[in-house]
Amino acid sequence: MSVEPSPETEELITRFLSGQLSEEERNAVEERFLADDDYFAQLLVMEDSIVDDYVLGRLTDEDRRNADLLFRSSLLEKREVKFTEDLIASLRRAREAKEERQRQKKKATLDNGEIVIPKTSPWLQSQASLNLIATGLRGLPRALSLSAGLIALLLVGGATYFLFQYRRQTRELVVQRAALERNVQEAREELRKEMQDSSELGKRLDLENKMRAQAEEALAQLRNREPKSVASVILLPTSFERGGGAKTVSLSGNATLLRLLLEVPSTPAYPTYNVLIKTYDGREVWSRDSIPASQIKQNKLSFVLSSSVFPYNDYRIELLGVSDGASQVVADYAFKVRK
Amino acid sequence: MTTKSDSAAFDALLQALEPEALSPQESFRRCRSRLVRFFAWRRCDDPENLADETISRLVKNIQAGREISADHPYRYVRAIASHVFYEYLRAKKKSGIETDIDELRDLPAPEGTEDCWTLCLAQLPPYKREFLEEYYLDSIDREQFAREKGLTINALRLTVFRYKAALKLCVENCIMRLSKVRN
Repeated sequence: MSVEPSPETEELITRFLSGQLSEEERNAVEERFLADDDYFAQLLVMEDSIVDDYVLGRLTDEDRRNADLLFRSSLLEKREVKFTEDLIASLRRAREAKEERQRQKKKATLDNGEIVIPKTSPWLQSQASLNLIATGLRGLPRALSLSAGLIALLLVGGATYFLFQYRRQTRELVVQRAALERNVQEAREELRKEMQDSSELGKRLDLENKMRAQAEEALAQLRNREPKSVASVILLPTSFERGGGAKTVSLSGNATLLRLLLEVPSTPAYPTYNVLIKTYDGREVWSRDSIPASQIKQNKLSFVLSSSVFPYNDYRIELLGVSDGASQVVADYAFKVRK
Repeated sequence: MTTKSDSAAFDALLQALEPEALSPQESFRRCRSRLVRFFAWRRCDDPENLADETISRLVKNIQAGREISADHPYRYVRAIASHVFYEYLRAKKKSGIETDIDELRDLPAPEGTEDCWTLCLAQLPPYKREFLEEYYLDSIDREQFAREKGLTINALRLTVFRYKAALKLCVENCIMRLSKVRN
């Protein structure tokens, strides 16, 4: 509806709906509302307003009689009235339910012993208290009333002090509570982020596990294939001398892998072993920790390494047994690589 | 029998009657709604049936090749509606039976109607619900209420009308869904 009706139009519409127009006037209104959207909407709005007044009992006796004729003439009109009655009943129910919830909430707040700031201002409370005290003092003998007055003053002073303390503590508690709520919120946010991060870490771990499984599979396939380009050497524990006791491994051009078989002394046995390969000048070439004892087959520990790790040089291998976090040298091995 | 050309002629009439409607269906709905009110405001006890009778005669006249003025198509519609109204009055007088509105009982409200009301009121934005609560439950004079809300009386009426229309749609849809679920 784009234009507000003029007071004259409003009056005409009201009279039309009340059935108070002459036939000529009624025909004019009918012709207009049939052809004019805005006018038709104005009639509907005005009728709805009359329904409201009718249901809320705001009509004069005469208007009520006229409205009765309209609203009791057909089921359609009757339904309009019924709809408004149902709406009011539902609004009332909703309001009552809301008030009941508020009462229960308030009761729960008081039951929980939460701090409830009094609605009356402290000043008014103090003033009311002073009035009460003054009324009481007027009924006492003069001497007694002086002492009582002094006591009362002390009491009032004390009460005022405690009242201000109480207010200050209340404010502090409110501030602390707000801070605590903020902290809880921040903690929740952090927890959420951590959960998200841990989820991402989990995904990465899964990916790495998959990659590792693939690598191990590839390695196993490599082992099973036993290519011809593998050079093998069995090494026995030896002294640290770089002398003739060291075996010589010849890595020709087509030997891409070197298989080392270390003879491991049967006693003492360790749950895990560490292996370290160095050159004689102390440069670490290769190492592996925490090798389980189960990898030792027939007193031999086997490794397959890329021959590129071992250029022409003399090497020594240190085998350490590890138990309870402490390591002990089990054996030393020596070999030479020649190409 | 309605031929294709009759149907096209009726669509053209609907278009002339309701030029702002987006489809013939909407034109029909709007035209029927006006006719229903036409009879209701004349205090007829069955305005919907009389509106349908008017439309039926309109279709027959178009099939009979009656020319309808394009300038004032609703004048023609109103003329038919008036004929239907006077026939209704004559028939009523002849039968001598006065309609007793208390006998015209609507179907009882379907089960769950109250829940639909609760649901629809809850779906209403809080400011609208509070507005309706204040308007209907607080005994404030309408002029004063309008002033408090910064509205003219007519704007207040229109606001309430719109909120009620939205609620009516919601409640009707809710009841319809409920009855579908039950059936």
